[in-house]
Order: sequence, then C-alpha cells, then structure tokens
Amino acid sequence: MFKGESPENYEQKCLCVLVLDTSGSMDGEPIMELNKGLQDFHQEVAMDFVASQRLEVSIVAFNSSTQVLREPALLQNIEMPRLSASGTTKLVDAVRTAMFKVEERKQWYRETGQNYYRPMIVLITDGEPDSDQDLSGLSDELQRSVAAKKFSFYALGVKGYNHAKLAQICPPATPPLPLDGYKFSEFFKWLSNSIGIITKSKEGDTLSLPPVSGWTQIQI
Amino acid sequence: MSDRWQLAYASVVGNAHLKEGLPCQDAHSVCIIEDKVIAVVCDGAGSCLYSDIGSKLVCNYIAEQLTSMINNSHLIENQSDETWKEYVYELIKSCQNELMFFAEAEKKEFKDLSCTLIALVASPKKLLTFHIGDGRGGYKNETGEWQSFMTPFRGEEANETVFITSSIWVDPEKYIETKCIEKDIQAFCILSDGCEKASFQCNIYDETTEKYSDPNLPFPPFFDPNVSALKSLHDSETAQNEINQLWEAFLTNGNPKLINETDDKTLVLGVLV
Repeated sequence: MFKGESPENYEQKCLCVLVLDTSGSMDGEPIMELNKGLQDFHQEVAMDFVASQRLEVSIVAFNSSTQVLREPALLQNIEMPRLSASGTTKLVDAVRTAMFKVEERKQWYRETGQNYYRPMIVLITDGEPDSDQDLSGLSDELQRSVAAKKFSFYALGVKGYNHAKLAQICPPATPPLPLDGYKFSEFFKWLSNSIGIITKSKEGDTLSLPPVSGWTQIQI
Repeated sequence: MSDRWQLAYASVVGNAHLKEGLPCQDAHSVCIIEDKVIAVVCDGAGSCLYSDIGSKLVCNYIAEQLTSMINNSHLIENQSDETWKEYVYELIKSCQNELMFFAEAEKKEFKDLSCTLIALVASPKKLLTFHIGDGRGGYKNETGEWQSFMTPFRGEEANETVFITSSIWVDPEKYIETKCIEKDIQAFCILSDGCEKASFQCNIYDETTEKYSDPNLPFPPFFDPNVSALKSLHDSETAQNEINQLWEAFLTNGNPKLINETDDKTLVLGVLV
C-alpha cells in the first residue's frame, strides 16, 4: 500500500589511517600474521553494509623510510597490500605522515561538502623508534591534536615493543595496547566492530566500543 | 480545500539498536483538534543512558502544552514570527524544567535524558514549527511543491548535534529554529534523522562540480505515492491503528534504503483530505 523511492544520497565518511611497522624485526611470523589480519579486516568491513559505504582506509608503512601505500579510499576500491619487512624504524616520520593525510583528507571533505566522523590513526609497531626520531615533539603534537578532537589515536604494541617509549607518545586516554602473540586478525575484527559502532553513532564523545579482549594481553 | 487531517505515524527501532539490544530512542506524539494538527518527534541521543525515556517525556510534554495552547486560545492564526518565537522559548524552558524535576526525582542525570526535538502545529492556512538538533521537516504547498521548514543542526563531525539538554541559551538563535509559515498547505512530514537518507535529498553528488551538497528537500517520489496511499486509506475508512501498522511495515522494509538504515526511524506524515 505505502511505497516510495529514495533519492541517491551518499554516506558520510570515516577515515582510518593504518600506520604499520615493516622494519626488519617484523620479518617472519609477525608480518605474515599482519598481512592476514589486513585481509580479514577487508572482509569484515565488506560484510557490514553501512561501514563499507562509510569507512575510508589509508595505509602508511614505515621502516628506514615512510611509504604511503594506499591513499584514503573505501575498502571496496582498494586491495590490501602484501607487506614485507626490512630496515629500521622511522616511527615518528610515519605518524607525522598519517597526521598530514588526516588533515589533507578533512580539507578535501570540507571542500567537496562531505560530512565526516572523527578520523582515527592506528599505529602498529614492534620496536622502538630510531634514535634520530623526535619522540617528544611528536608526543606534544599528538596530545594537542587529540585534545582538539582533530582525530583519535590508538597504538598497538607487538611482542618486543618498547612500552615506555610508545606510552610517551600516546594520549593518556588511549595508552598503548599490547597485542597478545600475533593475534592481528582478532585485533582487526575488533577494529571493524569499533568502526561499525562509530559510523552508526550519533554524538561521538562517549561511545561504548566493544571490549578489548581476545587480542590484547591482560595486565595484572 | 478540505480542512480535515489524516495522519500516518510510527517509530521503528533501528537494526543497530536491535543488534545491541538497545531500546528505540525515537518517540513521536500527535493530536488532531478540529482543523489543526500537532505533531512532535524526538530522537534520543545514542550515547545517553536514558535518552529513550527523555525523548518520550519531551514528546508528550510538548504535545500536551501545544494542545492546551490551541484549546485555550484557538489563536494560532494570530501568531507572528515574533510571538511564536517568544512562546517557543518559554515552552522549551518549561520543558527543560520538567526534565530537571524528573531527573532529580528519579536520581538520573539531566544529560542522560538528551534528545532532539521537532514540533509542528498546522492549520490548512498556516504552519508553526520549531526544532532543536537534527532530523528533517517539510510541507507540500498549494502548488504541489515540497519544501523544508527547518535546517538540521550539525557540528563539524557527522555525528554531532545539539539536544534540548545542551547549552542552547548561550545562543538561542543558533540552536533553536522557529518558523511561522503563512501558506495553504496540502501535506507535511516530520522525521528523525534515521529516515532522512530514504526520504530527503540530503547528501547529493554533483558530477559537474564534483561536490556534495545538502539540498534539504523532501523527495517527491518518496512522499507523493505515500500521500496518495494515505488519502485512499482515508477514503476507505481504514482505522488509524491499521494505517499505522501499514506505515510501520513500510518504514521497516519499504525500500532498500529503509531496510539498510541502522538508526531508529520515525516519520509522521499528515495530509489534508
């Protein structure tokens, strides 16, 4: 009886920049599991109709240099890279590149009249930054940006990471999370659930994200 | 032109809320008094604990107050932009007080009751409206064109808006929109933002400029068939609760956009018959 056609409305966007450590110490099982995690992430998001229309992913990899492997795009329009590991850990440069990508994309959203959720940067690392990396400068800038709600920042520490150094750059509200073994797939499943919740949220301040479990170590 | 209203109204819980076991946080309230109609829609804040209660309270309170205004004075014809705005500000203040009393009595936080609010009083010749926050509202004028009567409030991020519990008095002109529209109208709609992607042109891509924009217009291919359907249901003397059941089914799975929507969906459609 009742019927009606809907207009061609586009979805608002949620940008997630993955900053991935591909230094030499990630070689072997870690990088294999990380690659598998990325594939699983792609599939998880594809199964969530709304998230797949809203989530844009960008991938920044770092070792002795920083490479933007994927510019921001809906996952359906990109294939996940196959990462290989070698070299050192230019972590600060990579996070700065991610911050630049966030600003650049937000600028583009605004110029093209698109609505967006707060972008997020997710750093995954197993090491500690090279000694020439300006950790405290990055820390200040990150804290300021997160406080100003420019983006949210999460760091995941993989076996062997330097907790103190990673904690130094993380905003107090989101300290680094240690990954249990190489459970990248569990982590990315959690991330896709979280993104599902964020992209369906209304006023994002007090979101209840799914519990951190299954992939992190419990600290006693 | 006739002076009788026929309404269809329903609130449907969203898929995401169903999955997480959350209640429907939308609420609506309607009332027909002779040739006038009152309709109120509230959308409870997703992040607030008791926003489903808040939205019901606000909806009912605003509808009751508007009803007694009409019963006491029958003066909506005399309202001007200024007098309506004055009335609305007082009404919102008293509603906030009601919420505060309730919060105190029930030992809840005022902010836990946060919701948006859209209200309308319509006669065949006039439309009085106001709103706080997001959602959409529109009407079909005498020449058959659909227009909106409100601009949803959005913050920088897509999921930010204001609520009746927000600090709206720091800048009421910015946060409370009131409209007094002197026009012959044929139909109106009010909806929570869960229905906007399905029924309004609100995020349209222009290939030549490569830009997105929000025309904020009710989509005639969505509303016109439903206006006709509602008129024929009226003509066949279908009972209101039966009409609402059909309406609820339509909002639940009437087309792909409605089916895929994750948020709660409320839509009140009113037609002069």
